[in-house]
Amino acid sequence: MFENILLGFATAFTPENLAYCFLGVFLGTFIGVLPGLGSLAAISMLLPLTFYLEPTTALIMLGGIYYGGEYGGSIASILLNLPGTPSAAVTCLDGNPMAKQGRAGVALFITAIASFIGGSVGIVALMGFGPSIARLGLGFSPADYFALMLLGLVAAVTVGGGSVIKGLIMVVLGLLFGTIGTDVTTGDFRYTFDFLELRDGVSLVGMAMGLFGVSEVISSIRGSKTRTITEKVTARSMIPTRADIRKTFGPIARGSSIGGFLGALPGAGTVIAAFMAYATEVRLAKDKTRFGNGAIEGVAAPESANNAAAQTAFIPTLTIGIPGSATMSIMLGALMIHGISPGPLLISDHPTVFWGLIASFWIGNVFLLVLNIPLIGLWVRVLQFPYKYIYPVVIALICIGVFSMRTSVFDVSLVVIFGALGYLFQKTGYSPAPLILGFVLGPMLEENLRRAMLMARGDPVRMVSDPLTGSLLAISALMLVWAVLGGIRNIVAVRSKAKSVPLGEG
Amino acid sequence: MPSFHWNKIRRTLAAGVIGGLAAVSAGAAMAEDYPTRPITMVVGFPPGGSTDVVARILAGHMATTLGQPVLVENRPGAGGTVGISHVAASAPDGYTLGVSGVGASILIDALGRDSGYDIDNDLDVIGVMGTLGLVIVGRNGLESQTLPELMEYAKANPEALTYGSSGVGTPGHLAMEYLKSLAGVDMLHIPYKGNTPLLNDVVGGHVDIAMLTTPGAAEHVRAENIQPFAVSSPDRSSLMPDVPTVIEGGFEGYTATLWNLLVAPKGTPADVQAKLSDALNEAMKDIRVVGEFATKGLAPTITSPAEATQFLADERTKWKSVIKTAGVTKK
Repeated sequence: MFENILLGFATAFTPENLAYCFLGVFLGTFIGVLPGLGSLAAISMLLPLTFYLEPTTALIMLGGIYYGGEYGGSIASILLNLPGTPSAAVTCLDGNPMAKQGRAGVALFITAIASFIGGSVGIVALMGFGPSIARLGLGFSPADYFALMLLGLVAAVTVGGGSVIKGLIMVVLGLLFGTIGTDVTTGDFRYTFDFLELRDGVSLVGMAMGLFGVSEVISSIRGSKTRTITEKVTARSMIPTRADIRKTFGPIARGSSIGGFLGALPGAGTVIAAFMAYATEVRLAKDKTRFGNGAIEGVAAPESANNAAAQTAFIPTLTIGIPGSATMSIMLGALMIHGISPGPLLISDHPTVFWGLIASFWIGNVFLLVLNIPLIGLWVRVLQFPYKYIYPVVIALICIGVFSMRTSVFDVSLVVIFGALGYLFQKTGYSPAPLILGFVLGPMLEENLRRAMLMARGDPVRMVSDPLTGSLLAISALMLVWAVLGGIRNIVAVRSKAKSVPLGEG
Repeated sequence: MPSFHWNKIRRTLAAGVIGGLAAVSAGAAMAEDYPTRPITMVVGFPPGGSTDVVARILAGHMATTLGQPVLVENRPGAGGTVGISHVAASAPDGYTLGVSGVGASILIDALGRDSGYDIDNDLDVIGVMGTLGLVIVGRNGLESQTLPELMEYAKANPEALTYGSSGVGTPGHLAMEYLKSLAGVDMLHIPYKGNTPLLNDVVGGHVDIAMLTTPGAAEHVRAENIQPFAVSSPDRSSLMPDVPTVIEGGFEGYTATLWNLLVAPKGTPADVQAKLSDALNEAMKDIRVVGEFATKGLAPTITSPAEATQFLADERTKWKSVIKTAGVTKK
């Protein structure tokens, strides 16, 4: 074990690998900051470049871009309410209100720390328990996945703060958008209206950029006169208070564990990890109204979760050769091009590749921390730029980013449609965050349920009687009961308050 | 219900505009000095996938023969048809080529779904870019050890076995349906969204058997995470020489392979096609290309444009009859 870790660090510490690791995280952060340009697009574009590198070096750089992008995605979310990556949409919810309260520096600082801790937890899991976690993931049957996704959906109803009914409406809308595309079980096209491009469904990046990015630009143009230029940035304004730090301990610990676990399951990914971590914090909070209004826990939890998930996503990819996401498939492609067959024997056949890569993750996370703490001051100054310069650039970047995902003009028009829709939602007080989650979870939920029912030969009792499936479903049911009871209690509390307030003021 | 024929309209428009441009510039770009600028090879799948890898290996060698860079461009979507419909709508000047697999060339059309192009009327076939075998694998713990045993069990217990595929109408699905009809057995089809979740569930033991590509399965077979029953190619695979073919298992005439065709927009000048065909065949003979193909379970193919067109016709006859027998046609 320790020899392996030493071997890893020896591989990762060569000047060439260090340089490419730095290049990777630097590029990744930068690409993550740019709205629309995700790590998937960046890795696809840079893959041909890595043909000329050593396989370990190539993976170190591509890996750096991946988790660097996960970190960078939060920066524009906090500053401008523009998620750089879909998983950073959650960070918008409380990160941007913090920035509006003049606490952008603190939010970015906490993000850097939370990401570093989340990433480190993920790496430790990868080093210590990689293969056993991978085995655990393999044991998840379609029925278990269905139950897990349902749990995520139930947990999500509270995401976005405010009205539960509005949240539910948006989740359902997201589920409906998720039905567009090819029906996996029958191969039929649903709601594609003869558009070839809709057969693979609506582009997640296009949807997220439209709902968050474009709508934010539209509403800022309308309200640009009322905007106050943020006061001068001092070093003091970036340092979180002791109370801030104390408040983030729990969320970071929980976020890292949730993210670390979900990241290791093939298909679950960083978006779901970030949402689940956020939903957990909202559930646990005594005062739920703080969320959505600049609660520091609402930044710390999803950021630690998506970075932990970004690291543990490598567990199934490297230990059993089953990539959990499109980005991970490309990483495996990079290995295959170099003649290394990814699979369950990768660790024993190519120990330097595996351990070198893992060691580089930790070095890369240190780079990210060192790189980004000093940069916070610079990022915060972005807020002092007049919007008339920022927004045209943002719109152009969103178009380029979305186009680059599938070289599709169609997806760019989708961004326009979702932008208009997002503006409408914003004006009417509906948060698009639950919609995104419904959209991500919906297809997986449906697919796994139908697959599970096929395997159970159409017998729901047989499906539910599996101990894991059954207990996950039971937890969902309990959470629903809890939510309903909590809702009733809230209504009662609000009513009694409403009765007492006029008296007091009267 | 109003129906949108956006793709058709767009294709007509694009063809019109490009046709006009091509007519203007036709005098300037004579075929004899072709190629004078970089060539784009469109792949309908994301980078790093098996089609992309084939394209990049061959494009690299073709570039040296042709004396111009051959750039692989990924236009993924809708089972590869997004990329190929882009090629179909491009100018027939030999500078935009496409890599068209079994799905984009035959299956999507044969299943009654509009792909946005008609391969016979909109594209010229330059050559076959190698073939790739599939392997029937089973989860660990299945009692049957050989293909005949497995089929016997399936025959005695209809629908007791589940088989996974990477989607309805994918080669893995149809190849299994083909075997089902030959063996006269019934198994329950569990479709997945792509190879990865399928592989996960075979290795995890949630689905009984599946037809995977040989390079996709080889490492898991070697690690004994799954057991191989038979390969679908006419000959044994270089990646797993111990595994018998389906034919050896007693199913005479059974072959199912994946392949890619190098295609160009219809009307590409014959001498340009000949130059491209020569460059492709040259690459297939190259010792390094042959070596790389072997490690990836690919079999090289040397074909003239006419032979490749015939190959497409033969494959179409076979798959169409499989689709008909299996009854998977939609609409």
